[in-house]
Amino acid sequence: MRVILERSNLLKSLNHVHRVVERRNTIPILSNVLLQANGASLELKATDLDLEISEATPASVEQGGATTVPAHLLYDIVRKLPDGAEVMLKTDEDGNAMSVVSGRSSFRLQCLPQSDFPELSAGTFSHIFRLDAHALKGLIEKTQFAISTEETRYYLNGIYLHTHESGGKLMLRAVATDGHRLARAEVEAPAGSEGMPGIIIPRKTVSELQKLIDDPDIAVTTEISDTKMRLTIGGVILTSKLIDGTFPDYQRVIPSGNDKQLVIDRQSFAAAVDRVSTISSERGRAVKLSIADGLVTLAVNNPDSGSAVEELPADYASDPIEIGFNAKYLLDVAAQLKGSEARFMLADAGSPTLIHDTADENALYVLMPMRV
Amino acid sequence: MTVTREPSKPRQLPLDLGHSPGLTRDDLVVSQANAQAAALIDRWPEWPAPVVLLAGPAGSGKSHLAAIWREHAGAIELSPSDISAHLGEVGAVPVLIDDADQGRLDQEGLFHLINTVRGAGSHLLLTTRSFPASWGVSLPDLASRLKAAATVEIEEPDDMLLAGVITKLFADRQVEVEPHVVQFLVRRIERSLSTAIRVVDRLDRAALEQKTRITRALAAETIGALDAGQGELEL
Repeated sequence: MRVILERSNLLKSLNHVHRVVERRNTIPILSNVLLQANGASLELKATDLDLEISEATPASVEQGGATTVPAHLLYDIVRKLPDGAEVMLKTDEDGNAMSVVSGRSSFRLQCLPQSDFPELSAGTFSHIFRLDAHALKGLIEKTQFAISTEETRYYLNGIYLHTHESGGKLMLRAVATDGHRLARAEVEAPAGSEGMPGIIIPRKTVSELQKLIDDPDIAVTTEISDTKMRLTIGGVILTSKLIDGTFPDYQRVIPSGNDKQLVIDRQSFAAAVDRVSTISSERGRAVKLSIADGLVTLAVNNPDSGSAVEELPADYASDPIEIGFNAKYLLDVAAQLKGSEARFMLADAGSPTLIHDTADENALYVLMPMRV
Repeated sequence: MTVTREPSKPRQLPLDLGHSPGLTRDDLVVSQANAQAAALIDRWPEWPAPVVLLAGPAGSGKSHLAAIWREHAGAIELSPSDISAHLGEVGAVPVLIDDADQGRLDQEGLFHLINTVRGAGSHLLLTTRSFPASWGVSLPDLASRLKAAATVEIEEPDDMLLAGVITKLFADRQVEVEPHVVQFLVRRIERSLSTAIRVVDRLDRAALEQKTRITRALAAETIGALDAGQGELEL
C-alpha cells in the first residue's frame, strides 16, 4: 500500500474513528485502525466489537492495499504534523510495518495483518429513514444526560428510540432514564420509521453519534434491525449493536394529574439552586423547595457545615407545597431548557414532578423528589 | 448559629418503572416442591380426572402454572364468583378458575360447569390455597363432585425452589445478581415465595434508589429494615 493525502483530511477522518478504540485492549487488533487504499480514497475503520465507525477520505493511491496500525499512535502523529502538510503512508514489502512520512518527519509503525481485523457484520436492516442532523441532535441532546451509568441495569444504559402515536400524529421518540429522572424528546416520525422496533442505543454510540453530527444541515440515514443500527452521516458510517433488553414501560411514570403549576425564570432558578447547593454535602445534594403564593424558597441544610436559604419570585397560585430535589438533577434539567421560563407541574412531595420547556413542547422531563 | 440535625438523611425516591413478570414455561422454576404440579401441566391432556385441583400456599406459583396451562390448552378463564353467566361459552373448551377459594364462589355455576366439562370430555383446572373441604360448600352435589376431583399439591418451597424463584424474580426485572447473594437471601428470609417477592421488590427499589448493584451488604440492610418493620411504611 502506498498513498499520499492531505494531513487535514487524514486528521479529520482519524478524529472521527479513533475515539471508538479503547485505550486498553486485551485483543491487540482492537487497538488498531484498518486502512484500506482503493481507487481514489483511503478508507479508515475502527471498532470495539460493539461499535464500528468507518470513513473514506480522498487520497492519491499509488498502490492499493490494506493494513492495520495502532489507532491512537497514528492519530497523535498526524495531529502533531504541521498544518497543510502532505502525508505519505507506505507499507513494507513484507507488510510488517508502515511508514508515515511528511516533510522531514518519518515514522515506522508496526502493523497487524488486515485479515485479522474483525468485521461487525451488519446483517439486513428492516427499516430505513432519513432525519436531518438538527432533529437527531435535538433528540440526543435533550435526553442524553438522563442515561443511567449503573452497569447492572444494562437496559437503562442507552436512549430508547421508538415511534409513538400522539394526537393523531406518529412521532419518533427518544427516552432515557436512570430511575431517578426521565427525559423524553420527540420529532415528527420520518417516512420509513413506521412500524420500526423500539431500540435501545448504547451510551457510547450515543456519545460518538453526538460528536459526529456537528453539521446541522446534513441528512442522516438511519437503518435499523432488532439487533443493530447503521447511521450514515455524510461520509461517515457508524454501525452499532443495540442493547439487548426491554426498556421499561416509561409511560406509567409520567403523571397526567399533576395540578399545581409553578412557572419560574429558568436562569435565576438555576443560579439560585447552584448557590444554595454550595453548602450541601457531596453525597446528599438535597434542596428543599417551599412553594407558596408567588414565592419559592430554596433551602439546603447540611448538618456538617451549615445551611442556606434563597427566595425567588414565581408564578404560583395553588396550595403551598414543600418538596425536595437533588440539586444536580434540577441543574441538569434547567440546562436542557431553551425557554426563558421553566414550567413545573407538581402533585406532592412523594410523587414525580413534570418539567416542561416553555419554548419546546416536544421535550418533557420527569423528576422524582427526594425525601428531606 | 446552631445547626439542628435532621432526624434522617435525605433519600432520593426512585421512579416506579415496573416490570413484566415472565409467565412462560421457560420461566418456570421446577424443584421437588412443585415437580408434581409441573408434571401435571406438562402431561395435559393425559389427566387423571376431568377436574383437577392445584393446591398450594400463596405465592407458590399456582397462577404461573395455571397461565402456562391456559396457554398450552387454549383454555378460557372464568372468575370464581361469576360462572353461571358464562356457561354458554364453555362448550368443549377447557376451563381455568384461578384462586377458586378467594372471595365468593358461584356454587351453582361451578356445579353446572363441572357437569358440562365431564359431559364434553374436556378439563377444568382450579387453583386454590385450601382444600375444598374448608371452602364451606353448601351444595351437597357440588361437594361430592369436588371430592371426586384429582388434587395435586405444591409443597412449601425448598431451598432450591426458593433460590430459583429469587433468580427468576431478578431476571424479570432484568437485573443480574451474583449466586452468593441469592444464597444469602435463601438462608435469611422466611421460607415462603410471597416473602421472596416482597424482598426482591424492596431490594430492587433500594438498588435503584442508591444507583448501586445488588450486593450482599445491600441485601443484609434491606432484610434488616424489613425485619424491623420499616419497609412497608416507606413504600
